[in-house]
Amino acid sequence: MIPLDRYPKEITLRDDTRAVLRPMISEDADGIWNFLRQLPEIDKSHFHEDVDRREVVERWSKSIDYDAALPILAIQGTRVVGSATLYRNRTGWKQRVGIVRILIASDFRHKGLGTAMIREIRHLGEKVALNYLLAEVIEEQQSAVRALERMGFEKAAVYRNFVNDRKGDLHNLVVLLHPLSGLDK
Amino acid sequence: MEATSIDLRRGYRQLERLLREIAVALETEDIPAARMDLDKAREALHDSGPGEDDPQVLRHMDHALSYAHRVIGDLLHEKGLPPHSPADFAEWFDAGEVPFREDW
Repeated sequence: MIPLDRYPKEITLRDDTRAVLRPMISEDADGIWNFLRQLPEIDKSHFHEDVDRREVVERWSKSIDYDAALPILAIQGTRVVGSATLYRNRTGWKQRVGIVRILIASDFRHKGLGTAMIREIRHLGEKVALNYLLAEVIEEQQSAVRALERMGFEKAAVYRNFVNDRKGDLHNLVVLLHPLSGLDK
Repeated sequence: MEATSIDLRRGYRQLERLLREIAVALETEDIPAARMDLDKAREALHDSGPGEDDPQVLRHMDHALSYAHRVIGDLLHEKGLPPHSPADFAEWFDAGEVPFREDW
């Protein structure tokens, strides 16, 4: 079980606006839906499902399993302005590898929220004794790549013309790894 | 600009003091990632050695400082305080421009 007693957690961004971090709950469907609708198209490329369909979001919100996917939301007032999800496998050879996905609302970038979300996921990864965090980012998302690198992720590979966006255009995929202290145990 | 051996020794001592103070602040916090970064900062500082002539000294000291900034960021984050900007420390750097910036 992931310890969640640190939530809700209030943070202050660089411009002194405040946001609350907490795990997603089933009542967040509306907030997530509005958040996803406002994201740039490129940020939605990695989803396995069509997040422009409301029923997809509704289904997610009803099937939350924190041990498999823990979505931490950043909320300002009633609005979702960011999300960071830690995906884990309970068994198998990647059970000590956590996969990270972070999304930040366009108007909340460059305020330190993305970095705060990375810090949060690093903390959770340590708490559940993972060995590595793995992040996959489209190469054009340079701000995200730089923020991840600054927080200790290292570029492990760049796959050329490896992933496609929702229009079918190809992009380079950057894979970044962050070693955690579980490796030393 | 060339750093003299006196500059390097002074920088080493300042970093040593900074890491010591960060360690004290971290003692009461449960932030494993920050502890790991503090260890890396100490390791980098150790590699730089006080006043050594190795051309890598400045690079090691730079690494130690970067890890230290990350730990400071973790401490501020845990307390819900705004992230610090390295530019706030600009007056302490003998450089025209602080070479890193938070973008995301």
